[in-house]
This record gives sequence, structure tokens and C-alpha cells, in this order.
Amino acid sequence: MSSSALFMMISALAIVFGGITVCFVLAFRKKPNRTESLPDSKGNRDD
Amino acid sequence: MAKREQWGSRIGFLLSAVGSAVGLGNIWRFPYQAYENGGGAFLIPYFIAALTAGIPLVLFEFSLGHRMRASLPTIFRRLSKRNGYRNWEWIGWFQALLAIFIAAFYAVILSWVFYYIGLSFTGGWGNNSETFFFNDFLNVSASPFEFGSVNVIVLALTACVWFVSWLIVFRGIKSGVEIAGKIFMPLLAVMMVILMFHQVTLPGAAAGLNALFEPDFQKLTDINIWISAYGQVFFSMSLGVGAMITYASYLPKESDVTNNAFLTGLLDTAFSLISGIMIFATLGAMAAAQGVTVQDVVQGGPALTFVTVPEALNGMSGARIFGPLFFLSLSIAGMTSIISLLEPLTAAMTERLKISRRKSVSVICAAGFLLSILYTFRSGLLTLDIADYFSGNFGMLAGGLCELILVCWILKPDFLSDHANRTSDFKIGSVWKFCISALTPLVLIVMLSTNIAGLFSSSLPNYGGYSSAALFVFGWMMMALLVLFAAIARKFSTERAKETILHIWEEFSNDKGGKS
Repeated sequence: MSSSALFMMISALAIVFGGITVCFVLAFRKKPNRTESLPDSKGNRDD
Repeated sequence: MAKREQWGSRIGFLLSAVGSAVGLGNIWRFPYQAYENGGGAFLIPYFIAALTAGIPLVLFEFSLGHRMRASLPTIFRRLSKRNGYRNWEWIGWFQALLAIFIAAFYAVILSWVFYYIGLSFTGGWGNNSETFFFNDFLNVSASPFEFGSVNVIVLALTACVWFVSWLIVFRGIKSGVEIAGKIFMPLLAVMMVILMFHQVTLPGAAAGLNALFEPDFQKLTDINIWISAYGQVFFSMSLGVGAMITYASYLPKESDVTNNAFLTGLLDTAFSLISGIMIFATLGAMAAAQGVTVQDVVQGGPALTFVTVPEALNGMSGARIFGPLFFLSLSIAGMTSIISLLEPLTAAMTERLKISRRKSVSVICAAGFLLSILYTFRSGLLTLDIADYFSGNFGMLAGGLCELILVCWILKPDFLSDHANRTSDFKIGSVWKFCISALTPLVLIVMLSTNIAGLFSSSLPNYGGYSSAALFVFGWMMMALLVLFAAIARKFSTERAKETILHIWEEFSNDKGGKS
């Protein structure tokens, strides 16, 4: 495999999986299962 | 008022949304698009498109659904009426009906995949996979108007697809759709990673990966590459059919929509990349085995799945394990997308026409199956190709453009960014507003007008070499019917219409009672 192709492949994977990791860490760091902990008990529309 | 359903957990919502985005297009469209449009260099416009249009639009749809917490027609009705405009409810109906139209031919493609799962255990397509697929299996007719007979196997398997979809959506969001997402998506991820790692170890795989990732930076100056990248992002993320809006409408009030949108967009891109590596490693191995170049074997779309991959499997070690794994992955990717396509109309019928969820799902699946029958004839592959082209290149683009024009141009998107910022960790502002108010609509307008100009241009051949009559009947007429049905549904869902129907029914009942 050529070095430029390898570079493009690894860069793409790093960007995508790096982004996913950051989002997951932020999502589950402070408020794990945020949607579970704050259910809408009434089910009313908010407008 | 009946309590609106909700997702049971954030991960359940995320997996279902990613399941909606990840479909057959990730596996058979993205790798070919990347290869055709500059290889590794295509990833640059693709990532830019994902960051400036794909993820902002997913965020837009999530925010809209979460803020309004209603079905598509109700959302557009409220938005237009509250601001003193004409009733835009028909946009919601159009998107919901378009989703069912897409599900109808998607179900038939899935029936082929189901059939190939069985064949892959024995290599049942034989030595000539092309002849098997087009002649022995589908027996494709010469023109879309030569219907021929119904393919009984395809019909039966299409019925199975609809039955499984009905079973899942019938059970509701939390007990059906969410559970399906939680089971299917991790399974799909594991299977695709196993496949990818196996395929890259095959002799010749590196040549395939070279073909996919070797950058041709010259192509970045070509405007068509950028349009292709934006198109791929738009089609890949299930935008413009209301699936994401409807899914987000079931989120609890305090959900972080911004982070969810980023995760959905990134996970969809991850699946595309893994598919690309898996497919091109397979093509490289196949080319090496046949002593030809990758360029000689590469194909996109259904031909890649049902001709090239079976051919590659014929000469591969472990084909009886990895063949079924590949087709099973494809079937799961397709099933999760079909499920999401049923939800917009189910929610709309339940809310606007006051029909129970179970009845709505049953009616929708029955109607969808009847429409699917059109694609199970010998002409099915051809009519399906036209339907796919029109629904993607006109229906989805028009649906997406209309929602952006209404919310971003006629109204202002500030109420959505305020809402997203209130509940999310990432804050969005003027960059996001620019992306969805200016950049994305502009790209959609360019794509839509290019497609329309291409169809009406006398200097260009008709799409796919089909006759103008075939494109009119199976493309334009289908789109016109969707608009007509959307207008009828809008009319029937108004209070006055309901009162009138009820009044007529009561009078009819009284007359009947009087006469008897």
C-alpha cells in the first residue's frame, strides 16, 4: 500500500474515531444516562 | 391527551438514529463514490460536507423534532400557522409518504439480500454471478413496461421483510424500535469489523485499498466532486424524509441534541469508512486472484453487492463464513433503515388522523407491501432503479429544501439554536445558522436544478437509458402522486374535514336506519 494512501486512510479513521471518542466522553462524563435521569413524566408538548 | 411515547435511554435513541442513517448506501454507494471522485482526496470534500451540511442538518432535524415534540405534519402546521402563514402541513405529509415510497422498493432489495444470505452458505450463484443475478434469479425484462410474471421468491421474502418491520414498529418506540436498535446495531458493528479485518489480510487487499485511498488532488478543482460529496452526505444520513425529526420528537425534554447529532453523523461516517475498506480490500483480493487490476472489477450499487461480491467470494478462503456474514450485515443495515422510514407516517396518522398506532402500522405495512409488489415483477429491477433515482434526487432533496426554506428563510432558525443550546453541552451559533440557512439550501438548490436540467436536457441521454415514457410513469407520476396524496391527507386531517366526514357518516347512518 502506498504511503499517501495509507496516510489518507489512517487520517480519516483517526478523525472519525477521535471525534466519536470525544463526543462519547462528553456525553457520558458528567451526566451518565442523561435522558434516563430526566424523563418527561407528563408527556406534554412544551409549546 | 394521550401520553407521547419516549425513548427509554439515550443509547437506545442513538443506536436507532445511527441505524436509520446507516443503510445500503453506506456499503454500496460510499466506496464507489470515493473511488470515482478522487480516491483519498474525496475524503476532504466529504469531511467538509459532513461538517458543514450533514451534521448541521442532522442537528437541525433533531432540534426541530425535539423542540416541537410532534409528528411531521403537526410540526409544519404549527410552525406556519403560529407565524401567520398558509398551512405548510403538506410538507410533513409529503416527507412521511415519501419515506413509505422508499421503504417499498427498499424492502424488495432487502428480499434479494435475504435470498443471498441463503445462497452464500453454498455459493448457490454458481460460477457466473452476473448471469445468475440478472437472468436466473431476477430474469430481468427488456423494458420497465414489460412486467412479465411475479417472482414468487422475491414476493415471499418481501412479505417477510414487511412482516418483521411491522412486528418491530407495531410494538412501539421503547419496546420495538429501541430494542431492535440495541440488538441490531452492535451486532452490525461487530460483524463489519470482523469482515474488515479478515478482508484486509487477504492477498492483494492492499491494491484495493490503494485504489480507494490514493489521493488525486487534481480532482478537488472539479465542482462535480464537491456536489457528489454533499450528495453522498445528504443521502447517507437519512435526511429529508422526516425520520430523524420523528425519532428526535420522542426524546425526553432535557436531551442533549447537539452531541447526539455529532455522534450520529460521525458514527454514520465510521460505518461508511469501514465499508469502504472492507469492499475495496475484497475487490483487491479478487483482482489479484484473477490477474487483473482493481479498475477492471470495481462496480457500484446493486451490481457490486449481487455480482462482484459473490464473484469475489467464489475464490476466497472462508467464503462460507464471511459470505453469510456480509449479506447478514447488509440485511441488518437495511432493516434498521426501513424501520425508521415507517415511523414518520405512523406518527402522523396516529396524531393527525387519530388512528391508533397499531392500526396505523398495520395499514401502512399492508399498503407498503402492495406497492412493493410492483417491484417483484420481472421488470422490478428497472422500475426500482427509476423509483430510487427520483425519490433520492428529487423527493428527498425537495423535502429537505422545503423544510429549510420554511424554518430558515421564512421563519428564523434562532428558536432552534436557542433550544439546542438550552439542553446541550456544545453551544451552536452563527456558524451553524450560516450552514443551514445559506450553504446547505444553496447546495440543495444546485443539486436539484442540476438534476432537473439533466432530465430535461435534449443533449443528454435519459437517465439509465430508459425511455421518456418510463421515466414519466415510474418517476414523475409517482412523485406527483405523492404530492397529491400529501394534499389529500392535509385536507382530511383538518378539524373541518373531520367534522364534515363525521356529519356525512351520521346522515348516512340515519338514512340507513330510517329506511330499514
